[in-house]
Amino acid sequence: MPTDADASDETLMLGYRDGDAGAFDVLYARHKGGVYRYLLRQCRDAALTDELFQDVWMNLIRARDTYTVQAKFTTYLYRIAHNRLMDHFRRHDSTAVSLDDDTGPDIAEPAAPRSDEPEASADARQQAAQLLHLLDALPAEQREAFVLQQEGGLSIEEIATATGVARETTKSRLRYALAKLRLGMQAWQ
Amino acid sequence: MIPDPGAGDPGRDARLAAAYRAGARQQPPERVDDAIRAAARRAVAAGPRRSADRLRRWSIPLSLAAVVVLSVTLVTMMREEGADRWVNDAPSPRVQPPGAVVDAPAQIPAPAPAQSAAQSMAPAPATPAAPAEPRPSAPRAETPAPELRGQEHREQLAADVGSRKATAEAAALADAAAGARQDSAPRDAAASRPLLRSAPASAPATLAETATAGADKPAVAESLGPGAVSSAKAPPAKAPGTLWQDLEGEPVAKWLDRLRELRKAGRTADMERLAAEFRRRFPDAALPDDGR
Repeated sequence: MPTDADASDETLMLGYRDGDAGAFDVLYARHKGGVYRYLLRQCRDAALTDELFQDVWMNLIRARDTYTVQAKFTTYLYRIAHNRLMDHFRRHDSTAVSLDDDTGPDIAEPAAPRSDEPEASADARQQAAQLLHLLDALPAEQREAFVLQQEGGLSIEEIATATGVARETTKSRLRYALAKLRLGMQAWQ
Repeated sequence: MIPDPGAGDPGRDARLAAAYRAGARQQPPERVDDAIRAAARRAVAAGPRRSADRLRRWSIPLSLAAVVVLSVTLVTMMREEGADRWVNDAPSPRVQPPGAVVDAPAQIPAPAPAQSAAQSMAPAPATPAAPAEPRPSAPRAETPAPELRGQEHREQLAADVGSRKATAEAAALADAAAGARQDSAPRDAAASRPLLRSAPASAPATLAETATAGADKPAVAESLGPGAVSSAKAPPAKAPGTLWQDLEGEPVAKWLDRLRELRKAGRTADMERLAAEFRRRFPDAALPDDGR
């Protein structure tokens, strides 16, 4: 089956399931960055991220035989990534995941914008750095919800499916995350 | 503290999204990329592995097939077991006088019919050797020997095994017997039977009989070991091939008639041989109950 670069993720995955290795390459190129950054934001360790990232894709490869289109591919992919992360946290008794923590700690005061950088790009970089700083300060669940929305383009329902929690819980997490981030970014408005 | 963001749908924040995209540029290392792509291609090259689907699809038919196979096997085994009983339960044709020389069943316990061929080929426990003086072969042939129970069964199993080792040993035995025949009187010819039993069915029966009939006991015993002597049996009353020579190509009923004739005549050894051959040729045919 010829690989179509414009094909949907689901079509590509079905193509890969049926033996089209080129379909996997397209799929991988589309989502490798998002999945990698999702894992990086959650575990905050580059070496560990490499390992988990590889595991996620290997799990996808192993599961190709049984793949059927039951949901959006990105939901499926990030569900695999989420499960891998949870496995890691459980094995290492990490406190990074606390399912009841919806509020989390207060966000640290955002750094003031530096007025001695006239360049717009420099300003954008500063905004990005500030946002990532704020993001790191978020509780894991809220951070995860935000990153899944940004990297995977997932809706609230899809985030709920990927993380295995109720829709309302997801909505609450995302709402808190956005509120904290907006508050932290007020200095750039 | 963070104010309550409210209960509405949080939606998306374009400004936050732009800021996030500007800072989120991390990519996996190339070596990881290469490893994953290579694994994906290997998986495709390995071919479709639809084992899970296939297993689900075939689980019920496979289960049914397994049940059928088990049932058929069980029925076959029960049928063979019944045939053995039919043969073994045949009445003794002659009552031996109290002082008559007969094989002592207590000294040489007969192996169970279900004993494997490998077990029958193994050396038996050491027991006293048979008397040195020759015994008349004719009475022994008519004497019902308990050791013969299951013998045909063992022969059949041994024939199925058909090991090359057994063939070589049978040939060596024949050579030894030929050499020993010149200076020996007729002895307990069945001393070499364990080895002959383990010979394949294709081995010439006449050679085996010649080897056993003329074998000098000590010479053969040396070559066979103590177990061989201990399991000495009466020689067959008739060459096995001649028993069913005229039954070649005949239907099952003829074979059964012959079996009944032999039973009536009290030729137990011949009947057992013929029954074993019958089972080998007609595994799906049952021996009649009236013979039990």
